Amino acid sequence: MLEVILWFIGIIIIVPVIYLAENIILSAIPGQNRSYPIQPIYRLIKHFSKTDLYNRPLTRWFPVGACVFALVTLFFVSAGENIMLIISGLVMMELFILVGACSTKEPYGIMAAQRGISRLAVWSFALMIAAASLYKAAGTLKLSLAIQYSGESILLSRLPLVTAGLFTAAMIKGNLGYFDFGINANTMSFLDTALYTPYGGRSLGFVQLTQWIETGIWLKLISFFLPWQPLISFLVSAVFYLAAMLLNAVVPKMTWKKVMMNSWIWAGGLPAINYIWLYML
Amino acid sequence: MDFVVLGVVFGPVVLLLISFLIPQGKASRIFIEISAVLFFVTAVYLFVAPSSNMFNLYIPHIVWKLITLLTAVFILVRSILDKHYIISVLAFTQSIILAVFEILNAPEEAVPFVSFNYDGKVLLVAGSCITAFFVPVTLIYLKKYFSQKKAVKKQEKQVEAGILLLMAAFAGLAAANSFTGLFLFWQWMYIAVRLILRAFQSSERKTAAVVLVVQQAALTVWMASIPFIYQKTGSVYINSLDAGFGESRVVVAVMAFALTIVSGCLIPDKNIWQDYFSVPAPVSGIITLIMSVLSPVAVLLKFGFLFTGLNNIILTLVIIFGSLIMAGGAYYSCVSRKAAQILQGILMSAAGWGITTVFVSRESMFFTVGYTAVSSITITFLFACITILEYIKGTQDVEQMYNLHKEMPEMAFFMSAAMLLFLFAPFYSALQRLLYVRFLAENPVSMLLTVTALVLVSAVIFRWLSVLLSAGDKTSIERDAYPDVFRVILPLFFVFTVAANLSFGSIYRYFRQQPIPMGSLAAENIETYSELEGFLYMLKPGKGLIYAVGVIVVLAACFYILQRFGKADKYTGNTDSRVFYHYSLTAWIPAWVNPGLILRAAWISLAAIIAGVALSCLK
Repeated sequence: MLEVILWFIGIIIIVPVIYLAENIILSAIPGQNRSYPIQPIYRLIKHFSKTDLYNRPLTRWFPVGACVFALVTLFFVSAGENIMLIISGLVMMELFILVGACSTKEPYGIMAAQRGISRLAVWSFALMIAAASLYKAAGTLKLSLAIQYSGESILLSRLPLVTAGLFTAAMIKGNLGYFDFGINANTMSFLDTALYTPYGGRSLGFVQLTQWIETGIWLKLISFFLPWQPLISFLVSAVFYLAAMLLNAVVPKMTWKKVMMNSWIWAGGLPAINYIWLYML
Repeated sequence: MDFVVLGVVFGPVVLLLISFLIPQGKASRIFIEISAVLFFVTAVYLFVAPSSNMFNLYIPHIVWKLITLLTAVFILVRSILDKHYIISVLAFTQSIILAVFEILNAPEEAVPFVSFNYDGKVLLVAGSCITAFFVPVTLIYLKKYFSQKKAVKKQEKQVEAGILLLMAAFAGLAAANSFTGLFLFWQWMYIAVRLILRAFQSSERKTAAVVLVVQQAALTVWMASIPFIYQKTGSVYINSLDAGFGESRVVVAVMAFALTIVSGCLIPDKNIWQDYFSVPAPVSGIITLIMSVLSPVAVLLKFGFLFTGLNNIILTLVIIFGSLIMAGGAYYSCVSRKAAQILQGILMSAAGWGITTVFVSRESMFFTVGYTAVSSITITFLFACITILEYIKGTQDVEQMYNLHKEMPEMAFFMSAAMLLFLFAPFYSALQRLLYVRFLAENPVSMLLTVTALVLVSAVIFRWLSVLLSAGDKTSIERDAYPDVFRVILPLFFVFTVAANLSFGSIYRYFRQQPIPMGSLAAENIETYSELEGFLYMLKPGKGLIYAVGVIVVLAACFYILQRFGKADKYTGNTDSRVFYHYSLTAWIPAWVNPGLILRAAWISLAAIIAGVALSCLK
């Protein structure tokens, strides 16, 4: 239990550090926006210090619901629980965010929520195929048992495309690179993003907190597929994610339909190929 | 023959005959409602009470044969009167085959002719629960519908008669023990649906007419095959196929499968099923639920022993076909905007799930029965909700459901909670069971299609939920009042729906206590399987229960807060701004890709391959 709690707290701490690192590195690169080193943390604190712009009780509570589900899911992933339980938690978390965006008359928020639902179909497909592949390879859906299997026989060697697909799904959720739907929160354009238009003040703070926790969930989830010790695997996935965040600064944006195609090909297609491949070998 | 079983199957027919004596109007509607409740009560009695030999009734074989022949002749005469000459030719052929077969062979019918197996009882309870709650809603809706259309009372009578016959046909299909019995009850189903469709006759529904012809053609082939099966096995009892039937088993299994698909109109083609079911929402709902979901699964379960012994090629193809139906249904629910069509797509998906999962092991059969029963009840509840919505608001367009949480908060809460209950199965429990039971373990293509369907159905539910909880574009909201009947039925039905979902786990315990018939396929892992954690076992304290309760409490809190502080929820910006219409979930697909066409090509190819492989076994 202690290990689970340590992981839980550790992930909550490490993810903001990744965002801080991204901010610091990007600030040091010529041509990129310069900001204070602790800008992401400062912005979160600032959100929590403000009240919501509009009096929208329902909208205000949806991010809280999402944050609660994110925390519960983080606990499950830290404990190496059943992957389906983790998928379920992520889906419920997303539901609260999307429904929250729809619960006002903000057209941008509603439009973004529609894209968000299409996006959800992609990453939940990737996760479910990853779960099926994991069961096929390791004979269990419980991540804590899968990691034991990985110790004996490297899981990555059997599920390389699934791991890549999961990383792509993490990029989709983080709106990075060629998988940017233009609806989610990026570090530097948080306030301008459509999905979060209806939120303000503390609600926005909860949204950002939820997003950070979610990033941690994805990184921890991917780390179960990597062949090293849990801490090293987590750090490796974090470093890769940081690299993707940095690359995102120089990658051109695309229309959401194109992004959707990319997402289905990479996040949906890779795990599907790997899944079929498991039957061939 | 058990008197109660006989009552369940033939009771609705007797009530149908009595209903002709009752004048059309309120009395007639009340009579049908009482009949539906009686049907439910009898089904529950059958489920709860062990079968007794105290109230047995001997019925000579000739009675069944006469009823079957009379049914075929009735269709023949009716089709001639309706100028449906192709159907009349087919019905004539059926009558001739029946008569000649009887004269030449005089086979003994199965004894008992109808009896409920443990899985049939579960499906019967689900189906009767659906009729008991949904029929009153349907009849009240139809009263308004027909009064607006100024239709003659004959049409209303046709629908009522159709509903009663539908109940009898469904019970009969779940209980039939012989090939002749299946023929008889599928014909009843055909007559029932035909009666209902006639009430809403439209010259544009040409595809429906083609489907009816194909259904009769399939039934004719089935009828023609009965003498062949009798010659091989010396019996018309379904279970007689178990021993020494050789490779011809494949042909019989494929015929049973094809008949079920055609008679249940489970063809993943929008043009076919959407046209076929283009009747008012509650009517299409009740037909789809009984004819396309519960009855096909009940029939296929009878042939489970036959399918499980088939060679891998045909089994794989059949399973892929099932998952294609599932994916097709999910896709069409994605592209539909009308709530009834969305629910029909989801129902088709649920039926596809049943077909995909029923063939491999006893565990998967149990799982299929439980899943089909509970998902049918949950979707019927949603059908009831949209029927009431259409009755009050005059629309079933999902996009028009903005503001529902303000105008009809109870309805919005009930619908959201039912959708969430339905969501838990795909996202947590279902895939886990797919993997543990391993019935798709050797079918990666099926698994991919199944997962795609699960994801698409979930996305549709998300989209719907997001609309239900949207702010909408009205600045002043007036709360709608329900008619009193709906005010009683809706909460009661909701409680039943929640109870059905919560007691899902108990269904497995029920199965575990039942003797395995014939011992043809032992349920090896049922102990482990029934103990799996998840939302399906919500009666047992665990993560599933905590999680489900957590979601519903949070949702209820959101609704409460909305109601408590909702008046302050005003948009300070442009009050004239109109809410965005939702994207279709398939809006991103390039114009040159036509998923409907791909699905059509896929099911036609698969059907041709299945037929080819089956016929090759006749050598």
